[in-house]
Amino acid sequence: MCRLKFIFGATALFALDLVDQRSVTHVTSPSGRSTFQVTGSSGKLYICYKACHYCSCPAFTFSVLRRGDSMLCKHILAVYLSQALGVCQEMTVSDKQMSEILLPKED
Amino acid sequence: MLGNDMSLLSVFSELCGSVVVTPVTPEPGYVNTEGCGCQEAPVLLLGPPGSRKSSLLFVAAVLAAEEGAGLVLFLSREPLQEVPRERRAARDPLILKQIRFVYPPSLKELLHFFSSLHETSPSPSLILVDGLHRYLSSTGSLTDAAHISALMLDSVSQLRCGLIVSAVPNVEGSDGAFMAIERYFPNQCILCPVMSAETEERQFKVSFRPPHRQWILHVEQDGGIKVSVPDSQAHKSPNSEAKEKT
Repeated sequence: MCRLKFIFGATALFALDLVDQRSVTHVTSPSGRSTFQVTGSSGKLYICYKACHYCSCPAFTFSVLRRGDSMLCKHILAVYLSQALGVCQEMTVSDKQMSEILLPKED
Repeated sequence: MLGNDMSLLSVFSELCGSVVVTPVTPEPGYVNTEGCGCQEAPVLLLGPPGSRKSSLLFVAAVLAAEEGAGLVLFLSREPLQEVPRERRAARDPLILKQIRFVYPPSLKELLHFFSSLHETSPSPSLILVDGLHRYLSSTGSLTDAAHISALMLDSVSQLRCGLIVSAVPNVEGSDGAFMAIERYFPNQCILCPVMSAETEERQFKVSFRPPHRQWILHVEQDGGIKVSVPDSQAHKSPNSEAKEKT
């Protein structure tokens, strides 16, 4: 816990909050494709890809991509922690729905 | 699993092997050592306009199609202006049938293509994206560049399919976007122009991440391409490279 906070700072606490609230959903489709959906603290859904670090939240763009001062956002950390603790929600969708989930609509 | 020959490395080996300018005997085991390692990892091919990136991707497509591992997808914003003269493809038109050309007109369409890749049937064995900068230079957005890079990598990793992306680096207004792309593609092949006074052809130094061998790409006046191994001198002393830069 202390180590998590040491490495990730306040992000670790926010991520643990998300884990507590069971915010991480592992989505799979019949094709075998899968991804993670995380419900943010405001209730908005974010997508975190499996193969590489990417999250559709604004913090990822700002502090990971633009400023480069953190490795990941709280959503990605929450995905790692939920997986490690085995507390991801599981959801199966059709291949078509999967395509829609992978490409969140701009708003 | 994918064959070992489906990478950009094999394109240069192949081009070099078939039209060697200065014949070089391959060291024993040379091909094999290249075969292991990061062959199947996605590669970003960077080079200035006119370095025949499309042709190189097309050769990669033909090699993969010839191997018969499955469908090859060639994505580009506009149709290729000319189909590169690829001798194998000319010999066997069936090879071209294994290659499907797709022309997503915008970034939105490209994102859509990759997000629904798992619905494509049959599933591809290799995807080539020619000219990624053409999808980004208008906006130059860091977020867009990161999104498309991450989605491409996620898609091909889940479908166990190869990926080669070509782009012109440092297009005006896309610096931020390029930072993001390079971040997602640690595996890069860079084509760097070489000054050659003697000949009419243009030359590019081809460098992969060490320890891979370097090549020289020759673009002839008529647009034909050849690949050769640099002079043994240049190969022996890595310092000569540094000297050129200064």
